[in-house]
Amino acid sequence: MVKWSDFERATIADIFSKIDTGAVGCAALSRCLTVYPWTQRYFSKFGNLSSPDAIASNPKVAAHGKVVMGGFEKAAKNLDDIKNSFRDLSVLHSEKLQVDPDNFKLLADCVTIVVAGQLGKAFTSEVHAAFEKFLAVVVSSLRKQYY
Amino acid sequence: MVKWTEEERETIRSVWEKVDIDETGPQLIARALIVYPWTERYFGTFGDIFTTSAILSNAKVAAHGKVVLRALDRAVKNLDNMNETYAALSRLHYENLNVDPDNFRLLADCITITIACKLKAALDPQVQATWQKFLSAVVDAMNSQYK
Repeated sequence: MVKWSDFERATIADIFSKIDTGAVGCAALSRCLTVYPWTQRYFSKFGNLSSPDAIASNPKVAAHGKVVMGGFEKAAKNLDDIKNSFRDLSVLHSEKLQVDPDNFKLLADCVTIVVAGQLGKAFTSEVHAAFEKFLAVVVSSLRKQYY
Repeated sequence: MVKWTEEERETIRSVWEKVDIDETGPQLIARALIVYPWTERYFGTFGDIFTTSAILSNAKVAAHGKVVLRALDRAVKNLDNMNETYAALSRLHYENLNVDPDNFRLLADCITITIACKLKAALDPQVQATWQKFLSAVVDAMNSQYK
């Protein structure tokens, strides 16, 4: 099981208290679809994704970004049991949505960039390391039920 | 060879001119050492780099970050022949320093995150996409002499 130091727990809670999860989720998902355009293949029902502006103003992208970030927030509130709390999500992404799990890391990278942009100087190396560890655990839990 | 549009060239120049090497350089290697601690193995001659506070106050770490960014400046100025520009550096890292090339990608990520903290919303998705294209070309150039 993953062990979390007090600093890591406090840092993760602090980050989630400072960010607007809906806005971060929307920004991270649009960023992912723009920077890694092959990810658009998973969102063919979302309508117009034909340009960065179209993606940034697409209401389905915004709504889905909020859903995804809600999942991350759930993980942040269940640091000691992320693997179990993500079991059904992992099955969904593997069996129904058939998402290549490498893409989880890409989305996590986009979340990091958005959070870094929001926190600025406050996103110090130590805060970054704690958040990176958190995201790595989330990504690993999402990968867990594949195969 | 990588093709660059006029817009991409302008974006890369515009991001780079916002980077102050004296300000950003010292943070860069420190961030990599803190977030990806296994990279400490490459800096055995730097003295104490085994705790966060030691890393953040280590003069050699700070100086080396500036060296790396000055080399990145050469890439910005030589977008059309990066492989040639970096051939000697690539050979150095491969033959003398024995650096696992995966670490170039990690350092590139640290560069992007540090810039995201500074530029915030100015590193919008399109700018990020262009900047990451630039850094992948740099990473490829650093890989070019590896067998």
